Amino acid sequence: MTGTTLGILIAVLTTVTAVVAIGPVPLRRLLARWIPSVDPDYFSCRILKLEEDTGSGYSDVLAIQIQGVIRAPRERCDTDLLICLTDVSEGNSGPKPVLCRRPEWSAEGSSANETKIHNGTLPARVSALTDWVTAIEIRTSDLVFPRRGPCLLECVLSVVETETGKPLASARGQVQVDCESRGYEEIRQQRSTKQAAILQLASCVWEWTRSNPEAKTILDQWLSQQSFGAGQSAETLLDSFSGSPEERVDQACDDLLGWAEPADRYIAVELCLTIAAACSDIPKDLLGRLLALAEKLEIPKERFQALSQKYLTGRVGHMEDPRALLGLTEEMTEPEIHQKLTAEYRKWNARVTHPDAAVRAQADQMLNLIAQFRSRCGRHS
Amino acid sequence: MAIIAGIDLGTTFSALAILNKIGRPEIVPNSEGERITPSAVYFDEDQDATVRVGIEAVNCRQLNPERSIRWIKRHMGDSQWRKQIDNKAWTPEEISGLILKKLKQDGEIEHSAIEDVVISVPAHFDEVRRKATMDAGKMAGLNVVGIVNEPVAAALYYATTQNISGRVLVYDLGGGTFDVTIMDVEGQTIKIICSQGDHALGGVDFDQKILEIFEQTYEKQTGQKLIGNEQERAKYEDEAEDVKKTLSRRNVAKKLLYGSAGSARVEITRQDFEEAIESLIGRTEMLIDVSLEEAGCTGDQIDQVLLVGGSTRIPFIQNRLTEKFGKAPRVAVNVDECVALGAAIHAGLTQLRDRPDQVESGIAAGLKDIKLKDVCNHSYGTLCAPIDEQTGKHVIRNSILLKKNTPLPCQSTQTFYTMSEGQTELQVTITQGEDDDPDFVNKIATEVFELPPDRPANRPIQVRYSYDLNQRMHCCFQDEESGRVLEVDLAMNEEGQSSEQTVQQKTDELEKFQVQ
Ligand SMILES: Nc1ncnc2c1ncn2[C@@H]1O[C@H](COP(=O)(O)OP(=O)(O)OP(=O)(O)O)[C@@H](O)[C@H]1O
Ligand SMILES: [Mg+2]
Repeated sequence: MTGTTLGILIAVLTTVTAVVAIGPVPLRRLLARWIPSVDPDYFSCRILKLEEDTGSGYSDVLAIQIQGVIRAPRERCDTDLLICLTDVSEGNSGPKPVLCRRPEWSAEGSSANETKIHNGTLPARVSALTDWVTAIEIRTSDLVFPRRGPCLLECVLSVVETETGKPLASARGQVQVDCESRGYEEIRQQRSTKQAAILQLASCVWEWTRSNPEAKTILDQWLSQQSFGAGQSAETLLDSFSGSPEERVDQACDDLLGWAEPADRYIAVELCLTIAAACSDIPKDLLGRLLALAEKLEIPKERFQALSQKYLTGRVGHMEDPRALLGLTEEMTEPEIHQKLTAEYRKWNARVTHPDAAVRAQADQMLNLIAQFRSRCGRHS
Repeated sequence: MAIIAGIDLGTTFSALAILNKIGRPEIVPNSEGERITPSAVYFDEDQDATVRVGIEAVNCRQLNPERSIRWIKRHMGDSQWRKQIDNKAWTPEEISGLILKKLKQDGEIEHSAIEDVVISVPAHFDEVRRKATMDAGKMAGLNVVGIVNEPVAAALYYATTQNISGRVLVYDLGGGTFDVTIMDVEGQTIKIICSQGDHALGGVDFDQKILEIFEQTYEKQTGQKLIGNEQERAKYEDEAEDVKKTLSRRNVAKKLLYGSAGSARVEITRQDFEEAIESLIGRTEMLIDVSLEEAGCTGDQIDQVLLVGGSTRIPFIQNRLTEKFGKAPRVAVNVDECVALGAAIHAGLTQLRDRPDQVESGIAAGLKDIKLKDVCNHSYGTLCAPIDEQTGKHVIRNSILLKKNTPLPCQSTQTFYTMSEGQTELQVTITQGEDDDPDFVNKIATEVFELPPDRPANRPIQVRYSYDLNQRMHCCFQDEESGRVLEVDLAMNEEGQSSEQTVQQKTDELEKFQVQ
């Protein structure tokens, strides 16, 4: 590195630390001197890694700089800068866009890895930058890479005529960066893995409910809001799954635990319950299976019970065995059953005066159900 | 001096009691000479503006059920419920107002004006239903000085007139509602520990079970439906009640049913009846368990079980209670009067506290030793948006400020925080109920609290709830920084019109109707 560039670099560093708003630096100010160039076609781009003081610490900033000669078709030519970012790491199947979250990158008609900055009029037909000049600064935290880990970031920068869009000069620079958060490909993959897992679970419930046709409508509706399997009907998707429901549940639960946010696990269970609630007769063992599924998803028992009651109480009359809805299991001793029933009674009795007639009716139904079980399992506590 | 009275506005029967010169409660019979009056209303077809209340209304109901109303208490506070008669859509409060008007009118035959009253309500009645009951009283031209819980009233009566002491459980099973109350009685000091109720359980439900047996038997014998219209339903509902009462005296009741396919004989044994109501009785027992749990005691620690309400005459219920507690419950002769009698005592106590100069000295002397320590009957809370630990997302939750069964008077304050920057409005919702799930609580009031502009998130808002000795609740929201206050008036109706105006309007309307 020569003394001059070093000097300028220091200057840039100080500018950067002082600049609060990140964005394009007006070039015109810096196009001060017209100089006869040694190489009349020389135009170059480089990316520097800098640090910016944000007040509460330092954040990584990339400064995209240019140097060299720009030739315009005429004097006082208005120009723009076109910048495009890609990931050109080796081993990639090809260059992949690196996206920027800043608003000026999401202009209409361009992809989020390109931006256009108005550069202003060039002073002469041939202008030259003798020193490296920063065209734009970007925080790395504003960039979204394809994948986590090391990435060879390439920037293609072109100076174009505003009026015609014709390129006047163009160069590319590269820099090795390390992406610390999940990349968009990973997020996409994760999302589809997650959605596939949710769908797997739903398909198992569908089988457990003796292939209840209502489930397809529910799944179609759900699918229409997802990116996964877009355009496909629930029918084809359900048919495409193979293996026993038990194996599929294990796999899907593993995937959800590994990939999904906790909220997604609840979404999965709620979808399963919606399907269960839609079937005309709810089979004896269905609730037990759903409970096991929820346990695999590490959803606390009480939370599952609350959810199942929310979805299924209206369907009590159609359940072959509503015990599980009250949180009763085979292993429970009689005093335990009593205690549980009393707790459930307390809960539903508080709901029996609800202003909504539907809730009242539900509560009444549950109270009678609880009373029935209680008289069935002996009266003494 | 003004008469002090108590009214039991029951699902099936109502009664009026007044305090005599020495502060003892006495039932005032109605104009038919009966000590209790059926809570039934009938709108006369021929005479506009004439309403029959009581036994006559019950009798007319079989002829024209469209113009008659029973069990209105089950609809109290239901803003949707209306009964269209000629040109008027009657609300539950107005119908109840007519019943109260009859009681007042009949009571005034032998006494001077009856104005200051306490009306009893089931312990589990919520704010809305309590308010509706007070409004009904006002519409009848009464000055409702207070509201008392039925089991508390019954306990007041038992504790002051009979010899009871220790830990007492009141089992109140009436026509439409069921309440359990546990309290400690020492001399004339009554300390309520807790109350629990089932709003939809009572004698009418037992009648329905008998009616079902009628219908099933008839269909089995003739292959036809027994009931073809409302008139027949009304008739058989009354007959079912007769059969039920017969079964309290005898082992078997017989009835001849007349339907479209001729007659059929039905014989119902006590055992049939007991089997039919088993699950309902199971519900009452569970409520007892819940109450015992709440009071932190077991059945053995209950010294006395007091029965209140006409349905406790059913032998099966008495037997089951004997079995459960290992001792026979205490039955007063007048199970269907003790609530009204106790309400009169409560009225005396209320007047003595709030307007002592209005109370005759004999009455004051008679009541001076009675001490009542009551509890808050419901849990009250507000909706908030905490972060769910499981999902990491904001969820709407009900956060309880005043817990059910806290001794009265009580007050509770909690601080909540605004959610977003620049938040200028806060929707405050007052809830009643035990759930933390907002879908299952009763939202009794919702208002918008305007906040100062341009502030960051997380500004503290203090929420203060209090509950007074008259079982009424008050809420206040205060923005700590600006000191702005929002007091929520639970008496506002949906249109934002003060309910006082509406009540006055309706009182004037009811004036025009003559009650017989
Ligand atoms: N001998 C009896 N056997 C069975 N039930 C009876 C008997 N006598 C009265 N009842 C029932 O008792 C009920 C009336 O009791 P009560 O007057 O205490 O209730 P209420 O005050 O009208 O109702 P609530 O207190 O629930 O609002 C009616 O359902 C009636 O059928
Ligand atoms: Mg009663």
